[in-house]
Amino acid sequence: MAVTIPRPAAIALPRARRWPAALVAGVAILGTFAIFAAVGPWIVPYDVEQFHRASALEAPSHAFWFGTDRYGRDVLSRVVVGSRSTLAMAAAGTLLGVTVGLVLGLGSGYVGGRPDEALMRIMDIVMSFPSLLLALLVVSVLGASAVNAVLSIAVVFVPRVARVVRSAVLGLRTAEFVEAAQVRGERGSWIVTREILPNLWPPIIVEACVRMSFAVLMSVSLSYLGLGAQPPTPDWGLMVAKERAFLVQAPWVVLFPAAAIVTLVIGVNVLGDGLREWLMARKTADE
Amino acid sequence: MSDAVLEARELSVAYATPAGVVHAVRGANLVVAAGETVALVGESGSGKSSLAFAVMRALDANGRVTHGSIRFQGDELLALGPAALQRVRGTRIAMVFQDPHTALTPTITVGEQVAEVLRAHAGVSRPKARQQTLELFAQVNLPDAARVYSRYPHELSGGQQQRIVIAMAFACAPELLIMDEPTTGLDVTTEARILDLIAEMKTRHRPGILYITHNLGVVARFCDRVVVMYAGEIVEEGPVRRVFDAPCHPYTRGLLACLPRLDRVKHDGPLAAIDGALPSLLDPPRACVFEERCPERRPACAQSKPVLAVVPEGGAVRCLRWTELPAFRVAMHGKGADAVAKETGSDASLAPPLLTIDDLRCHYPVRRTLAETLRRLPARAVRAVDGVSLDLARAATLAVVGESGCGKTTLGRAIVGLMAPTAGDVRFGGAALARLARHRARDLRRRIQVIFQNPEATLNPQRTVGQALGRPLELFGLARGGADRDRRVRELLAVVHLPPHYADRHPHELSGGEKQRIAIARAFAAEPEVIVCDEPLSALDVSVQAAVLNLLVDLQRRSATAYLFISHDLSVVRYVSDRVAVMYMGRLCEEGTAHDVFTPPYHPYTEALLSAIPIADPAVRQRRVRLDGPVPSAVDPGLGCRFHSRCPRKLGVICETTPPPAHVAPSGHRIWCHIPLDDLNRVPPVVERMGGAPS
Repeated sequence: MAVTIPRPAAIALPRARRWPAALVAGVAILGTFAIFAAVGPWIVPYDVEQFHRASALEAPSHAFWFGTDRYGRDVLSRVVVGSRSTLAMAAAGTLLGVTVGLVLGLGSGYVGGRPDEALMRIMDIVMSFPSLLLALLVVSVLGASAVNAVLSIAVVFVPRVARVVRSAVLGLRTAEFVEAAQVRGERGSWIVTREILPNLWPPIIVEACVRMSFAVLMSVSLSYLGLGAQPPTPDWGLMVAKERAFLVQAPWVVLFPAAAIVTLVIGVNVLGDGLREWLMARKTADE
Repeated sequence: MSDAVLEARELSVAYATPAGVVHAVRGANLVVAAGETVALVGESGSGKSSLAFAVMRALDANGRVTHGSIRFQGDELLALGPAALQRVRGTRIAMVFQDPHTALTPTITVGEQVAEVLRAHAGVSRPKARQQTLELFAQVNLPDAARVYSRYPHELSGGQQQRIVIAMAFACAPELLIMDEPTTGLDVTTEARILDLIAEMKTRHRPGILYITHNLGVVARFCDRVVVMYAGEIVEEGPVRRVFDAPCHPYTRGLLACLPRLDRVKHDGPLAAIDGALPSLLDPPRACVFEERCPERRPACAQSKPVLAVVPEGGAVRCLRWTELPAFRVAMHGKGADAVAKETGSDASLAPPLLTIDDLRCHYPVRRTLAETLRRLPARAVRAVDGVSLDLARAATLAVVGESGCGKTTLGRAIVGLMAPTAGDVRFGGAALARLARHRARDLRRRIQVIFQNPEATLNPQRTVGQALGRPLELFGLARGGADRDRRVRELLAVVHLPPHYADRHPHELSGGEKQRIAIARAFAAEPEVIVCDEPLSALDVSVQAAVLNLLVDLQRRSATAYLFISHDLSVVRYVSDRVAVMYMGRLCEEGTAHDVFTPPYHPYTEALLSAIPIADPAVRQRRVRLDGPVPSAVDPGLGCRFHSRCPRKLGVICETTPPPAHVAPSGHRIWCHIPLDDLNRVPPVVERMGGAPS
């Protein structure tokens, strides 16, 4: 019974990609806006506060690609430079909210018992307020400013991040490598920072991306309501709010900042999806 | 072969993965005749499940049959469209999976699920389907079939669920049955009953069965032919008796030789482990697949691919040198007089025990229901460990055996200080230990270490091997400075037979066996006196198991460390232990030297365990002792003997009402049972070799 083993030849199988398309697209979109935020004032064609009274409310043209607003300011320049205030507020709010949420979630999940129960009920109460309403509450108590808008975003995010982190900690707390550390008699702080925290980065990074897209929406919402960035700062939310009276007459004054908002939000979301896919693929490839 | 139900020819299966194309099965030929039970045996990564899923046309989305044909009753399965395939699957080919929990829908009663199969596939009317379902339930020995019919899966035990799945598989009288490790998740006593059931159903319905397993003991018990796979290729096949008595392929020989057996103990010498690891299936070897690890290899083996050669006694083998190999003999039966002397000698030491467990109790409170709280009923408790007293001598191994839920793991966790016992003491060197590890003195923590079951979870994925091993050295002050620590880490790696550069690796770069070696090295880094080993082998493949077991025995001999060895595998326990404690529902049934426990007089539970374990030797006969029913709840178990509800030797009411007394033999052998010792002494041995017992 002579049998030959077929040589494993080149087989037409779908090849798994190493870099998810979503990750590439997300990095590209967010990266573009980040560059705009960093060097915007030096690359835009006009100063953002320069009035071109002769050409107020001019339609997109060769001179003004995105048109001009009612004072004749260049919309393109304002949209590009405006990414700075939106990105800065959203990123700072996310960073603050994720950091505080991370610490609370880590502590709560690891300690467990009654402290955990108490903290989580408080978080439930905070979460029961609609996000924007809570942010408005915070800003109206503290006063309207960009810094307070950042604080209000953080307040909204803390309980949500704490929940996600806590549930991840609960999963790891009974892992055998954590129990091995407990048998060795490691201190709680060592176990949390050295054994548990390093394993939490993937879910935290993905969560931060999801939060970031909400933060963008909230910061522009607050600015739109006059509670975030203050005039004359070029800010997308502020631009939409101030120019909305000319929506019919000169739609570009609202259209372009709104399009920028949408693009950034989609970009951050896509980045989050891409990261999730990439981190998961890396995990399965390891196994 | 005209009566072949299933005939796979030259079958190859490949998967697309991020790392590349994995050639999981290559050129496999497999025939299952009507009424025949064929075992497909291999370790993880051998391709046995891929082959079975290919036959069912149920490969994962990234898998393809890249070559070959699968004929079912002469029809090409690979050519069938989805509708035709659906008619064949379920009706003419049925499958039983490993986990009955996922095979049943949780929201439909089990009776309806089976009746649904009959209605959909056999077109039976509703009342008739119910009638036939009840008959099937009776056939699979489900007590009170009518009552079980209207139960939901979660209301049944794992064993009962698997009976339902088997009933469902036989519902349409399939011509081919594919069983993928159907008993792997079950306890041994339940497994034995399910295997009996499959054997009975087999004689009644006579389907062809393709039985996939890694457990050679199960194969020996009830299969006709065995097919051995390694790294995606079939290396040997033949009648069970021939393959077990005279295996031709070095891999088959290795598998049989590395199994711990009931007649082999550590004093007989190390087990024959298979060195090395599975070759990468991204680029499988062009020559013999087993060449790298083969103890019999010659230069020619790396040059050409061996063809399947017919073995005159039955079957075929894929090896260049099989005719030149010496006759197969497992170096085993015959525990030398020397070994027996050592075994009993180590026990005769009068030195005070190193670790004493004194009437230990661990109760988990059960949350009261609202009604119970309102009526102010006292909270009830699961008595996981309920009054266990044991002594562990220096440099000795005390094994704790029992089925899942018997409390053996809780006992281990209480000793290492991961959970606080409710009552009782653990004393180390005469002094009582604090209940939790963090309240114990640093030096005491150093002297008691632990090795866990799951190699995947035992190491932190984000820390390197060097960090994992270096930490106990730092914590317990066993290394002076970074250079000294690194030197010690390299020494530890050498002790567990791993090269020094492994210190820079992360756990995901290691195999399961290597991770478990690191876990062992981490435990030994602290230079402990006691190590609690909680099922350290049960997640490993058999060939790896032998190497890790040898390592543990060798380290104990060199370092005089005592082991508390928690396991459900009696063969491993027989090999490794000096003393054995058998636990059932939180209590001890029997305790004594390994020799005393494995020979009469037995506790009736020990007797049932010994009868149930699958032994990889067709020449061994086990007297049939089967336990009815599942392990009962450990909440409020009552006053009497815990085993009375399943005991085949139950005396009467006394067993239910009075705690059993201990019969203590001069050797220290203790049996807790109401049956008089004289009667227990008359019980014949459970396991016997046909054709002369070992001397």
